[in-house]
Amino acid sequence: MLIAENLTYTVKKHTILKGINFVIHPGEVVALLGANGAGKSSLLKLLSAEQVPSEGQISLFGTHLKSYTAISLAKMRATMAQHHQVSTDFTVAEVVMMGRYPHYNNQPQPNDIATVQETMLLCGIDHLAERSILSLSGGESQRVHLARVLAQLWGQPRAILLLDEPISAMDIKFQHHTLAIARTLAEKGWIIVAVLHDINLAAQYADRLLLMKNGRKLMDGTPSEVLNSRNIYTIFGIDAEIVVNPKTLHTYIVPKALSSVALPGTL
Amino acid sequence: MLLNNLLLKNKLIFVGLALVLCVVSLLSLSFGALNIPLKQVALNLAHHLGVSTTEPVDELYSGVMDLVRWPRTLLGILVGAALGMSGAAIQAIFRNPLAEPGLIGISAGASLMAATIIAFEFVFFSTLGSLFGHYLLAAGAFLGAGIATLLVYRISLHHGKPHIGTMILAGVAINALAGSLTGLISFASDEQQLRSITFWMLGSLGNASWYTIWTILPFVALALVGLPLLAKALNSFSLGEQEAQQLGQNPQQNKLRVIVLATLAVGATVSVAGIIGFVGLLVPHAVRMVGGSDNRYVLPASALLGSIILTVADLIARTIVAPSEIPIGVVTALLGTPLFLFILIRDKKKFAA
Repeated sequence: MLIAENLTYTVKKHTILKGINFVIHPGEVVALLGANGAGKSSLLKLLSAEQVPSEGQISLFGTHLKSYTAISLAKMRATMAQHHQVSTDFTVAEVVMMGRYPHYNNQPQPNDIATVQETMLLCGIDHLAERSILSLSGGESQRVHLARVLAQLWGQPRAILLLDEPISAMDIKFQHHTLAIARTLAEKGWIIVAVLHDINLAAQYADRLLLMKNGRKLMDGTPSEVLNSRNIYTIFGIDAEIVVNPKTLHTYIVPKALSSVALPGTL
Repeated sequence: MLLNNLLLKNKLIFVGLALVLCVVSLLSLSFGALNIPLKQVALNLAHHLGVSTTEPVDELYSGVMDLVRWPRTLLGILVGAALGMSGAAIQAIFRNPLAEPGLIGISAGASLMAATIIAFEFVFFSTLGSLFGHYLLAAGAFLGAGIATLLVYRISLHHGKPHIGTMILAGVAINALAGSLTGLISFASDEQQLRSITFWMLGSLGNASWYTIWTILPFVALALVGLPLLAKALNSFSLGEQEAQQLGQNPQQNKLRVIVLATLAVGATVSVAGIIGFVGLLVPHAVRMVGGSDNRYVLPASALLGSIILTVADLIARTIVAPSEIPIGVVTALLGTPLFLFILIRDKKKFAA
């Protein structure tokens, strides 16, 4: 169980996050939604222990996040960052193997090697195994890092996977594939928290949506609870229609196209 | 199987490099102002290994080898290994293929101190004698390397964490400052001092003796043992520091470890052999081109290739105009630049990206 209590995060007098509370249970996929700069990535950084909250606290599986050692945390928490730039031309398989680093000392063990192969297969990158990571497209590279963070947690009965815009560069097939992987792993008992920009994908795959604005949590609930035209307008400032698929009962939003934009200056 | 520990290919490269190192070391023991027949080299080797031989060992040849050639060859191996491996490790923590030990001020700091000591040697030599002057030069250069690196490191600290971008810029600034001060001292020096400073800044293994070997051995050995222990940590740096941290590493601590080990090893070599450019920059590149980027392979292979290149370069430096010598830094740069430009042109896209 992941419990966030009264999280506040301040950087140089700028309040990035303010008074955030929530509880996430194993088995849940939670999507963080909000406009650019709403504090989604910062919240993820607090949850991943990359940054420390200025106030409030986070507990993971009954223990304060700060009480974990770096290595024990690395075995149960993995984070896929928003941007990746690998500096050296490692092969894809070597990068995925880095996910196993917390699990072995010098030589990868047979189960580390098996894990890397399984997660590469799962993410559809097994055919790229020997390619240089620097030669891949944006979407392929995202799949490699997904395979790496999955490898980091592979075989753990309880784990928390934090994904910051994991599908932003993927094609539509792998967007669905990736979120389906997240869904399946949640059903195995993992906690999944993902920052997403595609509200419809979030609504289809997440159990809960956490809507954020200006560093605060504004709404928290199932897609059908929180997705309505007023909330969408409050969070994103766009007009959208809400549609419910009568077969699946999934909620969709259909944003209204803007007719034109007033250009500044004298263009 | 491509993930299976180290590839067979990498192991073969280790064996190949070790064999080449043995061959060039034998050549280095053999050739010089006095050419020693390979048979005598073999006899001397057998003698040192305690193997009894039927033929007697020639006293003259053996004396030259024990007093001159062995220390010189071993110094080349130590200096090359230190420069090669430190270069690979520094490139990893800076996440930059163009980084080298000189970037964090090691060479510039050592040069400044060395130039200062050479220029003011009359002050020291008149009272302390020239033998002490020689060790003073080495100790001063080592100290200079340490101070400059410490300065660069301290400047780069932001909230207690070294910031790599700042470190590169601070390194450039400290290099420029030390370079201009060295220039100022050169300007004020007389002909002889200028020659000494120039020669020192271009590097030479001419000071090789058993004493220098024993002096730098602990520092070099520390790096040669310590850096490979950080291989996994260095690999994870390529993902970025945040990612390395998420993998349970402590990037700040690892950066400090690498900087300390590299500064000790390179500082020690610079103090006895002067500035030998291009080895720390080029050797890791060549190694990665052939066998991939895993630092479990790159670090030891860079040490081996560095040793080979230094040994060959020294052999050329002291035989091409024998009995005189050209500075070894000239040879490494002459050999290294075409190779480096070749890599640069070949991988232009990668560097531009």
